[in-house]
Amino acid sequence: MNMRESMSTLLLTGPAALALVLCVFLPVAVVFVLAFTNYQIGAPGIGWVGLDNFAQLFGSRMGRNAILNTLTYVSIVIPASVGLGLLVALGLHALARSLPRVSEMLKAVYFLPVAATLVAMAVSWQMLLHPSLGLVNTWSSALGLPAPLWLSDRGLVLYTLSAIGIWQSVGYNMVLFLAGLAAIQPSLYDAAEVDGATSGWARFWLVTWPMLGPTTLFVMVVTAASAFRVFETVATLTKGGPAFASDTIVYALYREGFVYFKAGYASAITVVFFLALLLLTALQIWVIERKVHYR
Amino acid sequence: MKRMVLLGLLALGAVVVLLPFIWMVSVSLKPQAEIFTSSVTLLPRAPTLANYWQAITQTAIPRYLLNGALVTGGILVLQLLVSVPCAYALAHRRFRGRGVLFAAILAALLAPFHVTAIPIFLGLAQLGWLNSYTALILPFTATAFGLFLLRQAFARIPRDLIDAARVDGMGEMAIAWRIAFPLAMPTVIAFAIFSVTAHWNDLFWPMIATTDPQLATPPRGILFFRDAESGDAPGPLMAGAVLVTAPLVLAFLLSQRRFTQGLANTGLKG
Amino acid sequence: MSLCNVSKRFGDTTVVSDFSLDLFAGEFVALLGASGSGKSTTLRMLAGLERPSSGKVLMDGVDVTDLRPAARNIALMFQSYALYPHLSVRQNIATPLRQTRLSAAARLPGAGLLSGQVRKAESEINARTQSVAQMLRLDGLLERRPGQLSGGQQQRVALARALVRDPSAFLLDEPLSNLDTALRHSTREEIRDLHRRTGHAFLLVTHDQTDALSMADRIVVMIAGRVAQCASAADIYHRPANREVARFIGAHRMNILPPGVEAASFHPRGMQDDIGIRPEALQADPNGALLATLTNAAFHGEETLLRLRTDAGAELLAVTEGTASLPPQGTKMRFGAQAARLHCFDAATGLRKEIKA
Repeated sequence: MNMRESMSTLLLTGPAALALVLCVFLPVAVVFVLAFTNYQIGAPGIGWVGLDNFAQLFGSRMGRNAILNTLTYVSIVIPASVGLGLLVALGLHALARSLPRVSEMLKAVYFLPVAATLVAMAVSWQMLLHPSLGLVNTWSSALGLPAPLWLSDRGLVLYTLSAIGIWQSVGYNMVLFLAGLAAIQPSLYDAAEVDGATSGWARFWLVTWPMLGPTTLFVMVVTAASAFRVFETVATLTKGGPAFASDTIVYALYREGFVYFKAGYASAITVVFFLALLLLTALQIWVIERKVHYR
Repeated sequence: MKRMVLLGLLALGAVVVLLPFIWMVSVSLKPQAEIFTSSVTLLPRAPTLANYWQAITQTAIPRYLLNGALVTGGILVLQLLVSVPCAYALAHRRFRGRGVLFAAILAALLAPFHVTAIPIFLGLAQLGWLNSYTALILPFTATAFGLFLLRQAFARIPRDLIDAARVDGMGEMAIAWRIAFPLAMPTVIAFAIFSVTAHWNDLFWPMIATTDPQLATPPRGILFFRDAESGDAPGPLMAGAVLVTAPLVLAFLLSQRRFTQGLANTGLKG
Repeated sequence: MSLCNVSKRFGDTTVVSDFSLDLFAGEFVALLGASGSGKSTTLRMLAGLERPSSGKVLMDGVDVTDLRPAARNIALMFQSYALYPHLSVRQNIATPLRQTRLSAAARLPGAGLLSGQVRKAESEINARTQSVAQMLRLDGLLERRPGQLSGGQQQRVALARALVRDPSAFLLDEPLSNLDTALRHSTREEIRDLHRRTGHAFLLVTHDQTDALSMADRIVVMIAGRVAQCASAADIYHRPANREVARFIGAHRMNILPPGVEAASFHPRGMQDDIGIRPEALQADPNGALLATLTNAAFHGEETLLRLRTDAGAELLAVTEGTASLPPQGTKMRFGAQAARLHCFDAATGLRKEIKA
């Protein structure tokens, strides 16, 4: 390769390569180093502490609480959001044959929360769930139901946040499922019909569900990855409270790192968070390779 | 009959999904007295635009919107400036280290921004760049996702077309921008929608990189506004929320297909 | 099984109109038509996948128009094979039996462990699957997935799945269109053989006349949603019922001379009727009836195609035995045809008129 060729390659790829190093690879490396130190932002000294930060995260009640809350949140949001996304997609797909315009309109409605600014919507949820001025409790009192403190009851707050998380992600999953449904060969349904799968239920289990296999897995991983990252609603609605009842990993990362400036400890949280996501991705690749790849 | 049940259930779900939107708009149109009442109603009885007037003239909402436009626009331009030539080289040039670079991009896809936040914060602090537009824009220059999408799009352009441009005497940079870039426009638009939506809605980084309300992006600004009014002025707060949400929601309603493609087909990153 | 005056409309377009067909036990019928002639829709109505807009579908004299496909006990082989990609070959073949013989609960994995009855049904299904697989030489491939099979193997799996539950009629939708030439040849014989061995009624839908002519006892030519002719392969070729069929059948398009002096030079009926001559019947003959100019001659190996223009301006094609020594373009030549190989069609209606030699 001659000189001019190399120069033009460098001109084309250099800036992006440099940006990747500075914005991604170097910071990731630094996080992994910091995780083993007691560095405090602004402090003059820095010292090795080995695995102390990790011991604190998994050993302290606070750290375990954040991890447990995140896992609870994730394990509520994944099945609910994926299941509802699939149900809505199946419904809209069936409706599209007889009422295509209505189906399109409903699809837009379900997708709306995905495009909307989550923080602003969270503020609206706050008003909706307001103990005295909110619509939800006004209606439930009118129906004679209890009017709980959705966002300040320690036993309830995590479920409220989960519900908002589901509300926000159903539309996204629905769109992915609709694409999966559209890709199923119509002749497979004809074959199922001829083969005696006469009920909609039998056709679903013989054709739809297995053919959606790869889509379902993808949707689950995407939902899991974004649920693990839950931050906006926590920061807007509860700041992890009351009494850390809604503290999550990413919010703890933010609080420890940027409110208390404990860079070392926050880095350890980051590392755990990152490894969990990597594990999830590895799981996805592994399952796709073995199970749902039909070809 | 079966169809009516289906339609009914789907419509019911849609109402639940829409409820926060309806409520947001409704409260933003209610006069103060109607909000602070014991008989809460879904729709305003005496709708007024006073809250919007107050949000626009007496708060920093317009400033937040402007910041949002500047930051998302700045990020997108910078991302494209850096990514388009590199993605072109990856798709249509052979050079030493091409495989390594591509592998690096795939690896970088695995790291969400949260993972890099602490070191980047420390770096910007070291340089004294915190609390600036630079701090809000610069860390997002590298986009593994954009590089990947663009490379895939460029790779679909026939090799002959690129060679024809070379024979016609165009330089490599010119081919990247004047041949490859326009031909990959659908992908560019999908990426632009993804990038703008992600950064307009982001709260994590603006909360870290800035403390100055003058630099607040829309979500950060809404929180400044809410904490300042501390429950006294929900009307204007909701008006502000509507104004912050409106640009993306309107863009979505105007070009639904592109939007769903931009956000869903690029589903690798939520 | 039969279709009685069946029509199908999609919106304003009528795809099949007033179509009647009887399929007798043990018969092999081909439904031959160009794409868009409504033959696939007809097949789907027979199978029960489409409901006719009017008319009836009968089986053994019973009206089955409103019966679902599975209840008709009809086997259908799809053009794309429509194999379930997530199931093994064995499971694919067993699906029709499992769906019809086992209840939804009995189909759950592990149901066989709990109920002896289910176990018995399952072992019957297995035995049947095995024997059909053996018949189609699939026994070595039973645990593979469709994606791991060649096109020909996939086709045999589709055949096996259709045959497994002993259908009363067997419908094949373009079964050979996804195979290469060599495979087509052997598969044709295989399907014929299968028909002979099983004794089921077969209905083959195809656009390829070679498929139809070589396999079927009886051919139904479909043009624009109607039956144009229904006859044996030989009759379709030698005695086409009308001008459209005559043009559609045959390796080369039949020459049609409009009424006039040139047509009449072959047969006196040519004064008022169309005269049709197949290119392979039109031979160079110094004493021939027709004088024509050679406009193009192409040597194709075993045959030579001669394009001709008559003085009246009609364009004709003659096919002769392959010969490398071609006369130069522009040569005037005489052509003739045996009277027995002439066809006569009413100029207005296009219907065949018998002529005596």
